[in-house]
Amino acid sequence: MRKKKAQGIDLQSIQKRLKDCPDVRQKNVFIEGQHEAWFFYVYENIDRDLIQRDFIAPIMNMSSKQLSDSKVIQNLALDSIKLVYDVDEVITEIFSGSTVFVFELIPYAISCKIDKVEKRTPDEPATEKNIRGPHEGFIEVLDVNIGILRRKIRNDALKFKTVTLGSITKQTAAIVYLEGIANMDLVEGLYENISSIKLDGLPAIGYLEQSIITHPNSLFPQFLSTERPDKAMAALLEGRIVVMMEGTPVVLIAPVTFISFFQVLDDYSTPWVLGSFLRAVRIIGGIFIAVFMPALYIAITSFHYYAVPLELLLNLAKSRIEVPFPPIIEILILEITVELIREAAIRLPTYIGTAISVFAGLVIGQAAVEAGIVSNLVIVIVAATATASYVIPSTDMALSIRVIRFIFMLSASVFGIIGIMVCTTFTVGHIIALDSLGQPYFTPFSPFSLSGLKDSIIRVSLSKQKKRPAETKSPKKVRGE
Amino acid sequence: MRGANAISSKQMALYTFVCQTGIGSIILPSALAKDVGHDGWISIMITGVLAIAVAALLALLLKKNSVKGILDINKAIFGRIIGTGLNVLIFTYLLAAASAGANIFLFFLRISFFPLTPPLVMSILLLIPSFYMVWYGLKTTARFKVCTLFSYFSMLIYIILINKNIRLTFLMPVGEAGIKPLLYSIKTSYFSFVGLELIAIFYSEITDKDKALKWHVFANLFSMMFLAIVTATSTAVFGEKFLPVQSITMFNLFRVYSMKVLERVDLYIIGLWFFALSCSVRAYIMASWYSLVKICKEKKKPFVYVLFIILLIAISRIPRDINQSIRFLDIINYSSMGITTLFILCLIIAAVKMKGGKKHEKG
Repeated sequence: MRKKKAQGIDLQSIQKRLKDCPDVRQKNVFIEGQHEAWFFYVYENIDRDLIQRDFIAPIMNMSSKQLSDSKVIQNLALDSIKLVYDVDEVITEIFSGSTVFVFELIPYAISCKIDKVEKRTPDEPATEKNIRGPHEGFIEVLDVNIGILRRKIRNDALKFKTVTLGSITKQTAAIVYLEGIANMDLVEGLYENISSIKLDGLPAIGYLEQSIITHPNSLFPQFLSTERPDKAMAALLEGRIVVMMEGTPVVLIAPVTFISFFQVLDDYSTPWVLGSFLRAVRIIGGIFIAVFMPALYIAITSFHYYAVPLELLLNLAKSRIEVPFPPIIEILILEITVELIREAAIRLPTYIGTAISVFAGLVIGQAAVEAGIVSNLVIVIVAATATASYVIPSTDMALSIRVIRFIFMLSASVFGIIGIMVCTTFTVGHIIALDSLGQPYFTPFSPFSLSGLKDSIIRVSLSKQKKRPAETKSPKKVRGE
Repeated sequence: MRGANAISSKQMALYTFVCQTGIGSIILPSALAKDVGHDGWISIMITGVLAIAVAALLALLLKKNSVKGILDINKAIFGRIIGTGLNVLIFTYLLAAASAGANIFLFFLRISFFPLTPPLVMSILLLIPSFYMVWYGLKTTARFKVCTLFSYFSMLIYIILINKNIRLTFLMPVGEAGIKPLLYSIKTSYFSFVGLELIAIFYSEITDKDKALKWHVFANLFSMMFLAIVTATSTAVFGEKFLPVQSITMFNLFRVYSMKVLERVDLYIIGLWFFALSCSVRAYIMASWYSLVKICKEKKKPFVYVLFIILLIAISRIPRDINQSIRFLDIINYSSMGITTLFILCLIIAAVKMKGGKKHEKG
């Protein structure tokens, strides 16, 4: 190895920086049989056959004079050839999956990207199933995800603004939007926010989300995350912005509203009456049952027993007679057990997870009643609550609702129905104060938007939804023009 | 604070409507029954027409003057010292009104649900959401008012449900009280229109000022209609003899209907009315905090806000029982008339001065 500087690129500093990087191969060659040169590449990230045939072989057949002529280099029959002029760029290129040729007698390094990354097939996301929509999902490779979106929207208006994130990891993120439909102020604002993220690296897209949201202490998600390309496509067509990141199949959508977290593609792919029914069931279950039911049980059994019809009150009294705990403890025991089961089922392998859920659900519940720890009615309430919380399509929102439920229960145990009303007022007030990318989170309810209501708790027929959602601030307000 | 405070004329109208009807509709029927028997609703109609005229005059004068609110106008026309003095007076009134509202709100719920819970604990609990929203600004506070529409809608549905209990003969003969008692009762009915002056405080924050006059008139018109309906219904259900002893008339009205499965339907409707009630109190908390920030010319500071909260709760704890609370509200009622008159006078002076200034400029 020669210890001297190349004309344009400091070879020594490249090799110094690549010390202890066994994955990077440094192939030493001699141009015209006498001038030493180097090929650098990450062994597992390149397509070796193609690189040898289409890049290394043509380069080796060139003279130093030809190599120093950039026009000759650009004429190589490769679409990803690039001239690189400094060491930092060379290092970035190598780790991005390029093969870089460094030759001391020419003022630049030559980079060629023919990478080969191990990737999974774009299967339907396990957490976001649907019935009548497409069954594909994003994967961890950004280029593939961009390709999927491009295949769905064959229009030059689909734009990708890329930004490199992570001072150490150098990951690429892309802000995706439809030119002419998305509001460019929102796009630019988001681009600036993302560009200003100062982190070593972003192992998941949640890091990006938490770095740019305006209410980081809120329980509620302010960006909608999805692994579904059809959902991302629908969002783009509405004038929303999608953020993708290298290394994760999850993309973020903004601006969104509270109700966006209860919408799924099946609502739109079925006739509007059925879609509305499904949506209403999801909202009634996800909000009213999942949040209020256990809190109301606690409030009524602790303070307002006179609100229960006499027949039901007698049964309630019978079932509670052997339970030594107050209603809040009774509910908390079961709710915490359900949370434990849920966590266990996620962490364990699928086949054990399923067994655990069934075992816990059937055996623990029944045993708890027989042991006099909880009453029968509590089993029914907790089971209904748990089932209701599963109907929320967004896992982020489902998690928020689960946490809120505990706050409501504790409040109801101290202040009864007034505690529930105070919590409701506080929660709604908080949701109203929130925004997603500067747009009101609780629209179309507040600020009120009549056209927005057409796609909220119910959804009207597609022909009646002529306008794009107001919160997107789209310059093209009417769809289909 | 501009971004967090910007509201539309419609939002201001809803703000005024909820502020006027949230508390007013609960106690007004009983108070009016003492004054004019079964003609309370007529008293409200008369006062309503008067309130609409005052509201229109106020909005018109504000439109004539400038884009500023009353707090800025006072400083501009009376100078820094007198202007600030007047503004402090306005702030004191608003804080007292907020405290009176918080106090009566607490009493209503204590009597209905938790007579044994320490009042201080209840005060803090009930006002937490208000303090949270007020901190976020007028925009959030005004946006929340939309949620109260559900309470009003439920109220109207409830009135339809109890139609069997309504005896129209209880309202007959119409106008039996006579002109003099009816006119005299305006001072009682006016309490329900307290809140029409708030537009002067927030005027600079209204984004579409050209529509402010129209929507402010609508707000008072709707308040008049809603209050007249509630008062007429209460009178038609309880009768003029029984109504004066119903100190929390609306809550008692909620107990009239018995539903097969739900048993105590009042529990749920009071729960729903909680939104309107708390919004009514919050309107004045917001106005007083807004005034304080304007007077101090400072950005929102958590420390100052905490002091403001302590002061508000402390004042709200002064009345010790429901009678004292209602007396406190009476004081606020009369103060409101005074403050509204003061606003109108200030705005007329400002209009004259501005006209003079313009003539001088032209000359």
